[in-house]
Amino acid sequence: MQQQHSPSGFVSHRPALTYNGDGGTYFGILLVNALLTTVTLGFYYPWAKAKKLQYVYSSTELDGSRFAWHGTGNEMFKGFLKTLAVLAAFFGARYLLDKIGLGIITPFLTLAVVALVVPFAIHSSNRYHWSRTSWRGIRFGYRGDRKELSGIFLGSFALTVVTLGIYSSWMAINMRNYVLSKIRFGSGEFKYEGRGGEYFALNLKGFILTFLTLGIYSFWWQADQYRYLVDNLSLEHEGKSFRLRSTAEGTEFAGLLIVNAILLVFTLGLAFAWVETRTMSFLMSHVEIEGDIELSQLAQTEEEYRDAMGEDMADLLDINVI
Amino acid sequence: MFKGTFYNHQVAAAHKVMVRIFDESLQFDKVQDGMPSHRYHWLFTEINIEVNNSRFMRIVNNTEDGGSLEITDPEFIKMFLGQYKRTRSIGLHGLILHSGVQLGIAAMVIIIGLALLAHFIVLPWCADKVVDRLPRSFDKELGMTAMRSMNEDKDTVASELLTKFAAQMQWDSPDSLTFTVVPGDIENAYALPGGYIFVYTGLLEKLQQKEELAALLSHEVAHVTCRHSVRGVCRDMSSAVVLSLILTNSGSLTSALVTNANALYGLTYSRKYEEQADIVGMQTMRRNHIDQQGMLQLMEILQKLSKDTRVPEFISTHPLTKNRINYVRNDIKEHPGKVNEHAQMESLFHQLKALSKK
Repeated sequence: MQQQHSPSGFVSHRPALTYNGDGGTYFGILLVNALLTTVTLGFYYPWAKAKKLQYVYSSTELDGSRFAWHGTGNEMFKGFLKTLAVLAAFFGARYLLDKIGLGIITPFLTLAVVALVVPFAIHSSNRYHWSRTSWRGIRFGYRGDRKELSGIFLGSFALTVVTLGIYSSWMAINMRNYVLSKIRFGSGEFKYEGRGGEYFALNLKGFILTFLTLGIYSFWWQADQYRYLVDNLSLEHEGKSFRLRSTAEGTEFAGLLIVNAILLVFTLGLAFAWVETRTMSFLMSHVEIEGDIELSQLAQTEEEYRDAMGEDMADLLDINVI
Repeated sequence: MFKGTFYNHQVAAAHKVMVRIFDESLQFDKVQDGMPSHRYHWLFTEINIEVNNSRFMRIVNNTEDGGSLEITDPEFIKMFLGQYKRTRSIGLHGLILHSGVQLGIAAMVIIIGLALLAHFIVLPWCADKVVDRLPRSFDKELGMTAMRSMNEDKDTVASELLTKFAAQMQWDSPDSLTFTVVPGDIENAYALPGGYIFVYTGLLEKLQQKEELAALLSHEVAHVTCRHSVRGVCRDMSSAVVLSLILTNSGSLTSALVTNANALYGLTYSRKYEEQADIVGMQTMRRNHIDQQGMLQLMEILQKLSKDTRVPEFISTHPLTKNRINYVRNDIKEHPGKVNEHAQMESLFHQLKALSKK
């Protein structure tokens, strides 16, 4: 850890975030996963996911120590079974409604289920995911409230529909502000402070310039979005804080993504593992962390949460938590 | 003694420790300023390990006096795994994590080899076995469904003549055969499963001899008796299932590539079917004592038709006519046959021609 003693007496730290995974090993893991998933007709998927996350987390290093993923295939498989039960109940109800001639209300049933299920999936997958993540033995945690989250989600979603999608930038930021600010890193607390208006302006500019430059600007747009995610994030602990900053420029994003595309095309997709590794490595090495928190003082505060149902639901709905 | 870092799971403080490996346990001392040192002794039975690669591993102990150890010394990892493996099995993933790229690539070659073997040999074999067990009524139903969905026009008079023409020949087919003439400029003919044969007037016009028409019908009926369409459908279905299983794990780009490669492979399969239909068709002609040269003449007509559209063989559904002419010629040489007059067929053929000239 680099230390700088500022004139005012504060000790400033700059812990490094690095990714140590190598494409070859990752490729081996993905390959065995693919094989076992195929042979078991998909039932190996939860275990495959656990293996993959374990490798990715253990390859990520903050201030000389690695992250850890504790989720297991068994937990996620149980979650998967529960998700299936919910789906079965839903389709069963729809079938029954059709049968007794109340088919007209099935769209409303679908809407109601989606309105319930999406916030539930976001909420409980965050709880599961963060509780199963640790660093130096200290667990992360998510302390959001499902009702509050549902309120924000449904309100924003309704506005997005009414404004024909324009509000989606505000919606994304509302959700981020809430979810990311409820994440705990042991006794440390994350804060995310974004503004929908700024994010909308960023996206509008990105969209127009990408259109005018026939797609070339998309790399800079991506860099802007990444910066907006990283730069508004901070960690607070006992009155001290860490600020995060993205140093990734549009030209660097262009280099990364163009080489990735070339690798994928010329290896018929086999370079997938190396592409993901390069991307991970790029994203992490372009985050600068600076502040006066003593990381070694973060204490264990978060409970364990082993119910992976939300995680599986989020997977099924293709919601990305991280 | 190996360097490691210990965390006690209460605060995120990192303690540098020196770890000793015994036969069935680990031992290290935690030294902290101003505190008496604490000795940890972990049995292999109370720990869980996570090997990231040959340069990083984590050992976790969830008992009262536990915590986790992170080690980046390759020497330690090698030695520890040597000891630990004797008490626990390490699993397929552990093996790969430990041996890295070489094993990954070796495994990939084997797996791809097995997958190819399964896809190109085992699957078609299974599909064939399935088809052999399917009742013929399945073909009939499939053919009827296809026919209904295509809804082709029918030249009633010509179709009747063609049916009479076909009735002059003995067919070795368990299906009842239906012959239909479809008005249209397309120079083509096809067979649907269950015995539905369609010939376009465009192709009829090009035929000069009754033997050519007999060869054409023999070829199409051979498709039906060999159940080529049903075989193709079963093969495609099984390979689609396998591909979709594999592709769920890879990007959309890979899926596009694999799907296209599979489509190309499907073409070579259909060429094999065509060749079989030619050969079986020749058998039919011999049995009916029809001049087998008719098949050769038919090929030559087809060659003339395809002159203007030259397709390389690897993307064509039919073998190149040149190849077909070669193996048909060889087949005639190997199996010369008796030839009869067939006056009835001759007259029916001319009636058909006269009809299409109008």
